[in-house]
Amino acid sequence: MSNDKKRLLSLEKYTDYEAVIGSEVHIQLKTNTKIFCDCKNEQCDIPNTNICPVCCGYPGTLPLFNKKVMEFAIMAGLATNCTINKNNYFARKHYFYPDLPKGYQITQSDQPICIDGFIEINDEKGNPKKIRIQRIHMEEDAGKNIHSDKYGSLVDYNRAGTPLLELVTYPDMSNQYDVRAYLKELHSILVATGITTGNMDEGSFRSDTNISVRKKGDTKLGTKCELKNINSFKFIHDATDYEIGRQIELIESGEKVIQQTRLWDAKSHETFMMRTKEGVDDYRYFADPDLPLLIIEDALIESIRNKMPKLPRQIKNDLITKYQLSEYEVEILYDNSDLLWFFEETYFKIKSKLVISWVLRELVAAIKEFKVEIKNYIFTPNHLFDLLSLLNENKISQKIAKDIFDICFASGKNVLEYANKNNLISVPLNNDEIKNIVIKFINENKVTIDEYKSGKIKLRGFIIGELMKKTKGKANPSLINTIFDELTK
Amino acid sequence: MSISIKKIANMSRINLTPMQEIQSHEKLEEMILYINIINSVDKKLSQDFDLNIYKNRNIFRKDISFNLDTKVNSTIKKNAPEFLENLFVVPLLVKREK
Amino acid sequence: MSSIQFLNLKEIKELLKNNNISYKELHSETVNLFKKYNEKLNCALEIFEDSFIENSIPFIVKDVISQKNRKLSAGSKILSNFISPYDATVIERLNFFNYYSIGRANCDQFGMGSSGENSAFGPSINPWNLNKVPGGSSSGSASAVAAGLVPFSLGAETGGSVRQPACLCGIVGLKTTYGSISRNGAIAYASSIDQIGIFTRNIRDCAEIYFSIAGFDKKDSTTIQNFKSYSKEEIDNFCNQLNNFSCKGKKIGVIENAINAKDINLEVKKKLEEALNVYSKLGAEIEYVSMPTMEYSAAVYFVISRAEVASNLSRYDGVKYGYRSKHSDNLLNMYSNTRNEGFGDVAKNRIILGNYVLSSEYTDKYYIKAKEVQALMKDEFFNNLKKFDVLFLPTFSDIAFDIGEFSKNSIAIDLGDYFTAAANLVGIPGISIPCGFVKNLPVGFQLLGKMLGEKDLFNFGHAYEQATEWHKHKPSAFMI
Repeated sequence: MSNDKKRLLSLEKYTDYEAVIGSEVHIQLKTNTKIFCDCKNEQCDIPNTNICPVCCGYPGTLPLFNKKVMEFAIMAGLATNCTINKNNYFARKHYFYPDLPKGYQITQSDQPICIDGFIEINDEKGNPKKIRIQRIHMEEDAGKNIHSDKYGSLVDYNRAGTPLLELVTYPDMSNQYDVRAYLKELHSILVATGITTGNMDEGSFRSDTNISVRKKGDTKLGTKCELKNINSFKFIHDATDYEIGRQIELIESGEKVIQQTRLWDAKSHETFMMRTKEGVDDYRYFADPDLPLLIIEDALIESIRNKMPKLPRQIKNDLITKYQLSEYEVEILYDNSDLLWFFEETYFKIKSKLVISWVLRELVAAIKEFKVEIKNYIFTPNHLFDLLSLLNENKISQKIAKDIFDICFASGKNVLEYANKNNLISVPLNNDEIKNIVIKFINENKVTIDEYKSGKIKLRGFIIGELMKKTKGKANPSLINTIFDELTK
Repeated sequence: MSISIKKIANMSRINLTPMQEIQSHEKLEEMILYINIINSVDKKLSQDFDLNIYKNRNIFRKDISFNLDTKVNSTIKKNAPEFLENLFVVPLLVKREK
Repeated sequence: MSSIQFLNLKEIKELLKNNNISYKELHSETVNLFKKYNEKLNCALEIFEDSFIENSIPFIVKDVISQKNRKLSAGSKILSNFISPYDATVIERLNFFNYYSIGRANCDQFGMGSSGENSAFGPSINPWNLNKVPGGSSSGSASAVAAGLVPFSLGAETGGSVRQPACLCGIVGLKTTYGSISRNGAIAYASSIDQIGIFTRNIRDCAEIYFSIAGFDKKDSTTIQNFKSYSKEEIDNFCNQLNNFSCKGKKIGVIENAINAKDINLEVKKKLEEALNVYSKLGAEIEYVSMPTMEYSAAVYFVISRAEVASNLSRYDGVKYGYRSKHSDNLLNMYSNTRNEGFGDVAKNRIILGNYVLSSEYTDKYYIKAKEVQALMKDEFFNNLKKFDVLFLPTFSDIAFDIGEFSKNSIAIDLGDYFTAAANLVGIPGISIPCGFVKNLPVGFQLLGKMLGEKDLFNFGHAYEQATEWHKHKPSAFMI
């Protein structure tokens, strides 16, 4: 990739600096209705369709809290090892903006529903690391503003009042790898719980990253900048790296980092300023008098805990134990559910080590080449099962297996029929037949064998290779080895 | 006591004229002087008093959507001071340059 | 056909039942009464001639309560052309019990004011004396009922906006227990203390309407959860039992520091003492009790109500509905001009005070502190309401004052909330009941009850009414 050339690796360049990074993520919840009214919670192409007097901030309307939002928030909290706050209330956060219909956002302030959790990630060296979650709170989303030079700002309230969770970490991340690993892990956890689609293009998983840098050994935090609205893990990784570099270089050249919100330009591979944060906004929080207290009983927490689906880490561990795979192999399978499906379907029929290597190498390569969706494709786990069975029984060689795979993957032809038709299947030699070939070889190559016996171990590779040739691939290599060893004892 | 009436008026999104500013300032100072009496209260609540007894708790709405009467939607649109192709229109935050 | 003016609910129902009048005639008669007198009283902003509902009796609604497909102005310029797309819960409930709204009553804008002079549509007038204010903020609702144009009306209270005008207009005004009547559809002033209130010319009517609209509403999460709404039968039963109540042995606590407040009109005080004498004669035990936290009620009320109103009025920004200033070239100007032009001075000053006490610098000193003192008040009131059946105090320190007598902005007029705001802050019900006249203007006393103790207020009120004739007096000034 061309981006590799541009890779900055700022912290490797400036080894006397360190970065302090925290994350705020907003996730949209997959409820049927909005958080405080019974409007549909769904993407809608026609602006201002899913709106009602409540979510448009009409005079006299009152918020009515959707229970599902609380349940989803508890799920998110349990999935990230949080403590669930028993006593909850909503607060009003005041500011004026056209997409905010009431002039305040209903959110949670000093008593969020979940606190003090953590997520485990692996840092860039593969070492486990805990990223602490400071809080998760429930709130309503704003609508959308579209800016048009010709008409002014255009406002759509379809999204206004849809439920959000905001997850805030402590500043426990120290580089772009941590940020990406954290976000990917968080994303997969939340998607696994089923509370969000996690669709980043649609804004279901919106990440803001707070970055500051300082000289190693400094105890005071540097001025932070916030990276906003970046909707891919890779871009967030790259932007974080860039931003660390930008801040270090500012300091190195004697300038100051100014607190601001920055966006990422994926084309020029740079962050750029959206706005500075002059002073602190006064949001004038107070408890929303329209909403009753929310008291969460232990029984409710337990019933949600019992309904929780398996989380990624557990699923991965299960895969490792069940199929005796490596962590690396599981990562790939976990990230691609179709591949996992193909693997499991095949493995179910033939419990062989061959399955994982064929799935990860040949199958992955072929999928990429043919650009197919493997779950709905003509080449099925049955095909691979037939192929690997032949291989396992030494009826075909590795090379022939690969040839058959290529043909059948492209055409969907039946593996056995194709192999038979083209005489590719050979009946493997039995022990005696192999023995005869080995004896014949020993007799015809006495000098070489003597040299080998006298200690020239290196010759073994050559000898076995020759024997393989003689058996035309119809003999099990390990059988050849065993028989050869017996006869040359 | 110095109050920046400008700052509060701005926070309140109310554009006071200089005359209004003076009047508002006077009124605000008068009121603050009066409400300060609450800061002389140092009584304590009686021990068995629970503030939350009379507060409702856990009133929920079921997560079931309803199709809104289309007439309500059209009233909402008719009430808009400016409306264009299904969108509410407001002036830009600032005129954009370039 | 005899005039329906000044008839109470029971009398109107009797006429309808005996076919002395048809529902249709009742409707057109009511419309005619407003046509005839509204020019003088300015109590109605709009009369719905097309609103007739078969088998139903008309009333009028303070224009802060939402009526489907009708204007909802809150007495303000900023909402002057706003159409509400839905009915408030109280409107639905009253429709269910065969009452319908015949119009929108004038009021101080967004419920802010004690005289009715803060309406963007001109002041309402007191039917007893055309130079006097009817009180406020539910000015039109009080004026219309006092003038006998409708048997009852809805108002809304945050610090006394029903009881005070009821007192100045010589009628019954009820502020209900917080959470007993749904606020769904009522424009919020201070959500934590707002309640819809009722004006009638006698206690029985008040009870009937209260029981019709009270009860848990799933559209208002602050209505009391286990408080079920009443059936027609239960309502009738209670109203019919009012006569059986006896004050004998019942305890009335007179709030000593309130009735002896230094700025109280002594003639008014005399009327209140006469009312106490009536109760005494009826066998009630009268005891004076000092309630020190009363002294903070106005200050606490100012802080909490202003903070909440600043928040609640944030939505009026010219974006989605209502007035928008024409001359604004950017968003910030649009907001600031719209809100400066759309709100009256009182509203603006209250928003500014509210944002001041909520600002991060002062919230602990004022807002949080006020909430603490509010808790102390609740503590004191609840304790005393364990000892007494009801508490007795003035509704207002004086009789109705002249239109224009007070500058709209003076603290003197704000301090008029002193006697009433406590009930709002504590959440308990309060009622103002007429008890005589000073200088030909009505005087009323106030009873406060326990949480959901409205029945006590009706019982005590009805007993007083049976022993006196005050509720039978009718104003005539506006009819000449």
